[in-house]
Amino acid sequence: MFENLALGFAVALSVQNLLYCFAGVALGTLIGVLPGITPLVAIGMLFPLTFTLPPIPSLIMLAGIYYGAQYGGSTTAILVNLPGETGAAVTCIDGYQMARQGRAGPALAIAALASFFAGCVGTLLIAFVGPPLGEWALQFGPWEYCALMLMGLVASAVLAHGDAVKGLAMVALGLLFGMVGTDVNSGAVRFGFDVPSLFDGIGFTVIAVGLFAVAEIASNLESREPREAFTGKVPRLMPSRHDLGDSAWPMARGTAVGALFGVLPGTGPALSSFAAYMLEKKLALSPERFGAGAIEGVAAPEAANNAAAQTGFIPTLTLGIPGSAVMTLMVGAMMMHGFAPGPQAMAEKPELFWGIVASMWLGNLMLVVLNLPLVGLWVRLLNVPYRWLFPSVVMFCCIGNYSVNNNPMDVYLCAALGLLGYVLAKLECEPAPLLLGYVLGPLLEEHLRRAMILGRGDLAPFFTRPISLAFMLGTALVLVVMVLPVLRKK
Amino acid sequence: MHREHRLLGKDFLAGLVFLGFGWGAMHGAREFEIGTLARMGPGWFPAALGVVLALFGVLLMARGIGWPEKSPGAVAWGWRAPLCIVASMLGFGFLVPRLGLVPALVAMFFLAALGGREFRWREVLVLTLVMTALAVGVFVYLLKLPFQLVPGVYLV
Repeated sequence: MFENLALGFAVALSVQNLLYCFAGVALGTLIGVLPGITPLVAIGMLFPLTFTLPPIPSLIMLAGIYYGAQYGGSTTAILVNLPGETGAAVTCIDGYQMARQGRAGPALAIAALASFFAGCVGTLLIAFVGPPLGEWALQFGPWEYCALMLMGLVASAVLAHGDAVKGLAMVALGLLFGMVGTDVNSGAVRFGFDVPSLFDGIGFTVIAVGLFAVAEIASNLESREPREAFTGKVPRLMPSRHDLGDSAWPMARGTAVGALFGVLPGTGPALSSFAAYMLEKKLALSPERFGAGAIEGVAAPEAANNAAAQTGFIPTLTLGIPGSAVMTLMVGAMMMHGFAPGPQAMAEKPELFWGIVASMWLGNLMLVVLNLPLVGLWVRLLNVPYRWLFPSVVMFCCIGNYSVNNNPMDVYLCAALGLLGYVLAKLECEPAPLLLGYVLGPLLEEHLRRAMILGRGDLAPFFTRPISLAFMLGTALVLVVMVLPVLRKK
Repeated sequence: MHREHRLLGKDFLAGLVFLGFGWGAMHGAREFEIGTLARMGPGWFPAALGVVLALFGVLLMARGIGWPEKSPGAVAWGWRAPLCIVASMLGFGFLVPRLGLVPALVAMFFLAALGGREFRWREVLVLTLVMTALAVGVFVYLLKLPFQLVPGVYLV
């Protein structure tokens, strides 16, 4: 497996690819650190920039953007007490307290170091677990794929925060959006409404940018400007030896927790950072320090967050089933470059697969190198008012969508989906399951059709083939978890 | 809680949206061959999704009426922000092929900024100028996207 990593590094370490990785990390951090711009918005907004590049540099830059945006989000969480995404909400608790006590520097440094450590472990895990998992997945028939996708979709709907019934409905709506366009098997154009740009399906950029960036801006503008920015200087950056000693074990435990959660489909980093924080609080000698600026409370969730982000690539790259909304964005972008992640991809395009894995590690390394000296700059960015930011984000959304096909219809569609996303957000329906449904929709239909043709309409193989049965039982378990609290209340 | 509030609750309205999409899917799928389970036509999967969506919709509507305490209160709709954002995007899409990138961006920035909490003329003007210059620099000059800048003027 080390020869795999070696191949990956040979690809990623070319000067050109290093530059793209660096550009991605820098841009991702720059945008991700801006208050009110979540990593999802940052990625959605920046990934049209990568379209003009050839596949490998483009995916490498995208991975850089991904890590940069995630780390930028933690910076905002620590300095402004403004969690960009649910994963960073836990980092806020102690990170912001540390910043108020004048220890913003060590908090940011520990966050970066914890992320880097977790990223290293995560990369090694991909190298070890990826190939056997991919080989195992090569035995999957259409039944297994259907069952696995079903489990991922149900898990993403139920385990995401928010109402489970609405989550399931959003998955179904996403699957339906995935149907738009020409049916591969029959050539029939479904739900095209005589709009030529719909004949190839709703563009991925259109739906992702509309649902996440546009809808989120509209919702953000209505809530009060959340502003309690930390404007002081960051006095001392490096953590003391004592800080490092305190956070070493929490980092390791956080990494373990995160790595575990990341592999499970549908759970993602949010749950893992929360679980890691609770674990540290349980294990701590003096748990009352948590919430008042305990460095362990920054190290553990940041490590967990990043480990989960990294191991989330395992199901994404080897099975082609993304686990979280951000992963879905990454898969969508990969598909736009004609790289459909899955067990075949690893065997057929090893240089692309391992190049991405290696560049993810490089992205992590660059984060540390880039961010520690640049903290001062990021702090200044935090004071950019939202009223300057949001029109600029809209600009990126417009140009990004327009430039895919040079077609204004894509911009109109994106605006319409943004409006729909806004309405759904107001009705407390989470957009992430919808996006996952949209990406998996065509795959699910394809595999279901194949399974039914092979079995002549027999549904039994879903429950008689052992792997498929295991996934079905997993799905049932997730549904039981959803129903249990309802029953208990009655 | 009053009955009319139940019909404006988040559960009921969300259910209505899903029911609408579900009905639309079932209706649209009739255009195509449904087929059988063993030989699915292009209409099978959309029709099945339509049924599932409609069921979720009805479930949510029923929950909204039966257990209004689960979806507290009516939704506070704010129309200005979403409409300004949408209008700015429509304006951009309309103007880019006709007048070029620069006029489209000017219209987009002013329309979008109207959706903000406060609108300061000078600030928006400066922001528009700076960001338009950046967009031309990055997208047209560096990434070489084939935009018309103003009528008749191309960089690439």
